Amino acid sequence: MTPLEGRYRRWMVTYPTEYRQQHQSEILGTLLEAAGPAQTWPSLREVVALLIGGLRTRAWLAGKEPGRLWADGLRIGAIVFLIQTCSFAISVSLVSTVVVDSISQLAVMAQYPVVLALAAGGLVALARARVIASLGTVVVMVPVQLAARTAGQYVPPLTWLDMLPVGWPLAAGILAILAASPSLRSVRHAWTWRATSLAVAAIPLQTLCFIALDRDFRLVPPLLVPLLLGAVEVIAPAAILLVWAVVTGDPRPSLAATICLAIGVAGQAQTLVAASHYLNFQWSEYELKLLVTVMMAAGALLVTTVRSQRLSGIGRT
Amino acid sequence: MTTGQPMREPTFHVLAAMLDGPLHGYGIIRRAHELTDGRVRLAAGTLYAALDRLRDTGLVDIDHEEIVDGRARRYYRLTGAGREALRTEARRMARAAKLVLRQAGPEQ
Repeated sequence: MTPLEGRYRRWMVTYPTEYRQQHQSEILGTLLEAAGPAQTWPSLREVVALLIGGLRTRAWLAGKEPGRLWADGLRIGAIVFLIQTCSFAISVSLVSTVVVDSISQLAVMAQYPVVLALAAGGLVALARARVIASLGTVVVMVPVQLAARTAGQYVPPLTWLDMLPVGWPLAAGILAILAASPSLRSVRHAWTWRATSLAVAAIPLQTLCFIALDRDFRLVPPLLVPLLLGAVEVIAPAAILLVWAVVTGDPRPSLAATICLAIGVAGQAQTLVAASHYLNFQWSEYELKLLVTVMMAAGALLVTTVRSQRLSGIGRT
Repeated sequence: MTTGQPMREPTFHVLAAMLDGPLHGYGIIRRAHELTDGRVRLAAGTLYAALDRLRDTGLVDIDHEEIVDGRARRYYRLTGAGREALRTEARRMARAAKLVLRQAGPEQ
């Protein structure tokens, strides 16, 4: 094997294993024929085409299995949510300056390690295609957070709306759809384990962003705070998923982006409505515009995704 | 096309390259390059993604296989449906071009 062949072979990593077994030799032959006589390094153009071609092939093969695109899209959405929850729980645990001197404060602070453990457990279960186990951890999370918020001494007292951990019921709903449908639940593929391992790398990055935002909170103009938090929590992950969807023509990441946006919007709306109970709270026109814009984007994305030809089973050549 | 939608440009050139007979992967790349006066240079990743879909929709089929330097080399050919789809697309493009050229008037 020449060095060039070895290098091209490594760049075919995005193709599914079974596809590589059947076509790698032929594609490598074409790449080597197209290469210059003294060429020892792959051309950037060919490398990009191989990476995108591999992802497109995955999407194409996934579209051939009934229910697979929906199953994977919902699963990726839930994985992104669990990763964000881990990042948030780690950052709150690290930067919190609350002095725990009462049972109620202990309850509030103790919820974060529990949240982290449950989210990490749910993530591992989902990555191993154990949908029902993952649903179990997410369902347990709801009473844990309700109990912590009920025990905390907030002034003014929290209403039911403040206490409802809105993202978790939504995530539980997604997992319940996956668990309830035999055709979606039965979809098991090794990619989830590898993709989740890669996505977990986002946890330290997102945690650092949360910590940086918390530390420099006062240095940032107040109007920019919701935008920056929204960018880290919702917009950046959704944007990465959308770029993936557009470049590869794969509807699965766009379905996941819709879920990510919907959960983010629901959480943001709850925060705003809950904060409005405080006497000195003023609705910021900027926050509302951001919320409405992201809400409309999520709606438009969902409609586009569901109506996409691939999801309705019609391919375009 | 089965969906009645315009073909993607790489797909059109992959099909057009095989009009004269079966070709293998690099042969298709070279022929598309020649037919377009060097404007189109298909990357292998793009070519095989297009060939997979074209085979899936019955527009292209494997003609024969041979082993060259220990490697499988597949030759692809247009099917009757592929030839017809290419003709339909070419007519659609010609109609669109005619419309624009008529509106734009004679060249300066």
